[in-house]
Amino acid sequence: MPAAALIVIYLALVLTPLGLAWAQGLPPRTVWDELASGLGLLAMAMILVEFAQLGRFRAVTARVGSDVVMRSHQLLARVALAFALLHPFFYVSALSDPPDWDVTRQTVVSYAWPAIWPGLVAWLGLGVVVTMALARDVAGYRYEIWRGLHGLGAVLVACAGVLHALRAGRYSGDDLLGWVWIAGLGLALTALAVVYGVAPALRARNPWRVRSVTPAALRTWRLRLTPEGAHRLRYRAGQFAWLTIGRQPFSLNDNPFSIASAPSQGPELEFIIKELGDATNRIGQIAPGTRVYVEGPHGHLTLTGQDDAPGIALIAGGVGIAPLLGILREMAARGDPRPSLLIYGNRVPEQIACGEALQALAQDHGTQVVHVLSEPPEGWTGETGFVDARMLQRHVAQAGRRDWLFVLCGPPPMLRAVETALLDLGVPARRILSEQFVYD
Amino acid sequence: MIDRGRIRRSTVMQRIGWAMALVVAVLLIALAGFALRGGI
Repeated sequence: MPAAALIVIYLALVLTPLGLAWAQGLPPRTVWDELASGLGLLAMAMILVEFAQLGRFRAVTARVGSDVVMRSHQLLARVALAFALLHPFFYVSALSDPPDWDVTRQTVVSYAWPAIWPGLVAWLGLGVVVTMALARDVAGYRYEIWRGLHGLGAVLVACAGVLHALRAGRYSGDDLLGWVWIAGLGLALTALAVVYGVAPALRARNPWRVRSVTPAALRTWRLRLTPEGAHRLRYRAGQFAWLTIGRQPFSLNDNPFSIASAPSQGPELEFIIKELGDATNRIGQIAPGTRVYVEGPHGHLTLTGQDDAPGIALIAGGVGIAPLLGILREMAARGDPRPSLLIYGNRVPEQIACGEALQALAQDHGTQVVHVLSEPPEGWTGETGFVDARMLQRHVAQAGRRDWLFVLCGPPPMLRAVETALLDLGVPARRILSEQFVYD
Repeated sequence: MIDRGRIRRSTVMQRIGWAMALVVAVLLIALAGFALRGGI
């Protein structure tokens, strides 16, 4: 199923309530009243579908990538908020209870308190939930607090919104549309229950254990996990997983890390983790034997479906090396005959992670490894500066590699620059895979 | 009119922007149709 099909499915889901309202054939009211109702129907449907865009459903993340899923979740939430905020202001009909004969509530807009208060709760709640999300980086909430509040807020908004639609809605008073709202709310809450309840309960039966934590580079650690039992993680090289380290499986405090090992190397998992100022600062203090729960795999940064690419170019910034190392290791383990190139950007040489492993891949698998330092020490003979258009011109265009597959992982500014430069060089967009190592 | 060539040459994040713009455009058209379908 192509990614475009996800857009069609999304539109079908969101437009269903509006279509059902349209099909009821109720007598028309003013354009403004109809606009107000339409905005409410769309906003409510969009809010419910947001629950399917949590970034934890592998059927979606493996297809388009978690970055895309989370970005669409954020952008569409803002549109839903705009629709919801406008919804009450377009009603122009008289505010009163409808006369007994007006069973379709076409002459007035009800302001009966039992119908209005859930709408008010949802209206204010949605504003708070979206504002908190937008201000997340500035406010500096603790991650698990933020995640818990965001989930609870979303549940409150969804429940109150559906209650409002059922009690106040002119169209949602219809049996069919009413049941659609209830079914939609049920599915939304089920999605949340699966992510926060069912899935952790299943993970509890398949725990992992820390085998070792060793330095990989400056403020960067290599974490190795081994399964407690015969279970395995079925993943593809380049994917990532959410790790709950030293906490119970239902903890809200899990973090996404790219897998640096290769599936062909065996059941153990290796992660390269950089201290980024949050929970990752304590990675180096984790004792061997600590229990870990692994949720995944996620991500589409893999060579799947790219068998026709004549070569593989991997471009990493900082700890973005982790998934690319996994891809190179898998290529080497499987004896993939295609040529490979790794361009690896860092600030100083001490930040180069897994230098020995990269050297081994260069010697044994023939990978061309190009180190780039923005603050090189005296005597540095490698590339200097940033991975930019001029550098890519030499290593890609002049080297005749425009038809290769390009796999990118690093900080967002670097990804934007490299992606734009590759497109300018004539590399087709379908040959560029990218993943930010910042998850937001 | 959307330039398909421009979309093919856009980055992943830009393509998400195009996709979201398309989604919102369809929603707004449907909303307008709903409001105007015989409104008085």
